[in-house]
Amino acid sequence: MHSVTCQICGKRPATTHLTELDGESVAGRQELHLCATCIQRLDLKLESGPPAIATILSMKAEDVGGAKPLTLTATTEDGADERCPHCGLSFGEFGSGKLFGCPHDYTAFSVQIDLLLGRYHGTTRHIGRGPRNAPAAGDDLSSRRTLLDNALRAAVAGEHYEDAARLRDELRRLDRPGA
Amino acid sequence: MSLDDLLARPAAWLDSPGAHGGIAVSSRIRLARNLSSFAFQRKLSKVRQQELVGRLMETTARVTGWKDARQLRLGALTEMERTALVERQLVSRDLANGKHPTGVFISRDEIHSLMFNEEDHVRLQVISAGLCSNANLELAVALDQALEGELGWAWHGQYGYLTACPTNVGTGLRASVMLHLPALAESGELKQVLRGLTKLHMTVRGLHGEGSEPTGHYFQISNTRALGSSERAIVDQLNETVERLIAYEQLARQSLLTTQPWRLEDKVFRAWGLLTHARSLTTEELTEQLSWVRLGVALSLLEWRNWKILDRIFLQCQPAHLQLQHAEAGETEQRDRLRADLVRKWLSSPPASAN
Ligand SMILES: [Zn+2]
Ligand SMILES: [Zn+2]
Repeated sequence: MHSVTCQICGKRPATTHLTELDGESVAGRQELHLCATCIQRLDLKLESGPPAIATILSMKAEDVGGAKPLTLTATTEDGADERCPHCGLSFGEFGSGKLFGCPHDYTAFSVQIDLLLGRYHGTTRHIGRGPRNAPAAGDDLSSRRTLLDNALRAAVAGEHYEDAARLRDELRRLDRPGA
Repeated sequence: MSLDDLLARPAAWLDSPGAHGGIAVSSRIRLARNLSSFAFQRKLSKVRQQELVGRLMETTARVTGWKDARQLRLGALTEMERTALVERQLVSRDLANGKHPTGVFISRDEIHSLMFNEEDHVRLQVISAGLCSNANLELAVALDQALEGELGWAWHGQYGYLTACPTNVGTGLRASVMLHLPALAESGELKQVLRGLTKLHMTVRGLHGEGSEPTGHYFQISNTRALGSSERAIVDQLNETVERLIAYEQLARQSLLTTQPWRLEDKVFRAWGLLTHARSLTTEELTEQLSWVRLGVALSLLEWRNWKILDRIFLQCQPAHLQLQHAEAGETEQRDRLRADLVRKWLSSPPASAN
């Protein structure tokens, strides 16, 4: 297995890899990669059968003292050296600082951003207020479909099955509004 | 510009007893906004950052027309003055410690404050005492709308308001409520209750926000997700959660009062004894003991119940507030002695002045 960063601290290389199946489907597969330090900090007794991944994820924010509950590990494998034409930030650079360089990054890295936002916020679409002169959300369905298609391909290629399932659902919803 | 008159005043968010016997201390709304015409901080030159802060200062002053508002460039303040602004919850620690050009715009009543060139170009804050996230949201939105036409916010049809960190994208909203939960903490049930919040996409912080440890049984509850729910829905969910926590705290208080009143009284009267007699007090000790006195006042265990004095002690005895207002508070030892002297003096005030 290629080296993966621990999903709890986002820093050290992961040494333990948990996989959990929810039913038969590939879409229900959930993975969690942990380093030895975080396992110790969270006091996980893996010998006696690991706790559910959801339980571990709910522990991490508070116990590791991280202010941000961090399902926010950037998928640096995909397009790490693409650069934003406006500010020159690469997606790899973003991954190390967790901060973008300019508003255009959201367009330049939309594929990776869809994955990222889906994981952190559970959705990729803003609901709520906007500037009064701004174009309304959801104006352009065809480009939205392209975005989702691209994101889905990236998710499957990167074996992020949970993301892929969610993106597939969103695509379906796009085809049948109101469903 | 001296901060003297600002420091001597009560803080906007401290007006006990607030809601529900002092359990809900304050509510805060924060909107993160960026200008589409400037890069985010990490890719913005110092010169452009200066330009950005200047433009934000000028525009905010003109658009609000608030003559008595205060505009400060953090670089022009001493470290102590910047810390005092953190103690008053007007700026974040990051802004206070930052080395780049930054500014803050504070309304006279301190309810509105805008941080310039923090992680985002603008962090607009509305904070007030008690449980009032809905009203605060309306105030924040009104100011946001006043500014948007002049500044041109970075906006995306799908992602909403664009922010430097993707955790804030969408609404750019963080709504939080500060709660005082001594009985829950004492009962040992708190950790489990707070852990449940993660599933509701809420997080808990200490008194001074991100990265601060909970002290004095104060906990700030806020949303973690800014995308995918409307501002109203985020605030509604926070309110719902907070009301549940308040109910738990009230239950825990009742249960302590009925099952082990002596234990509770012991805590409260020890704290009272300590604060009315100590000759030296650290900030930590004061915060912890003041929490028990506050609970004693809320439950009428103490005859003395002057909430205004409790707020004054809480705010004015913080290190930077003490040092800036008392020339003799320079060294830690002198400061701890001065703190104890002030607390003794203030607690010997009339026991039950109105409120
Ligand atoms: Zn780790
Ligand atoms: Zn860029």
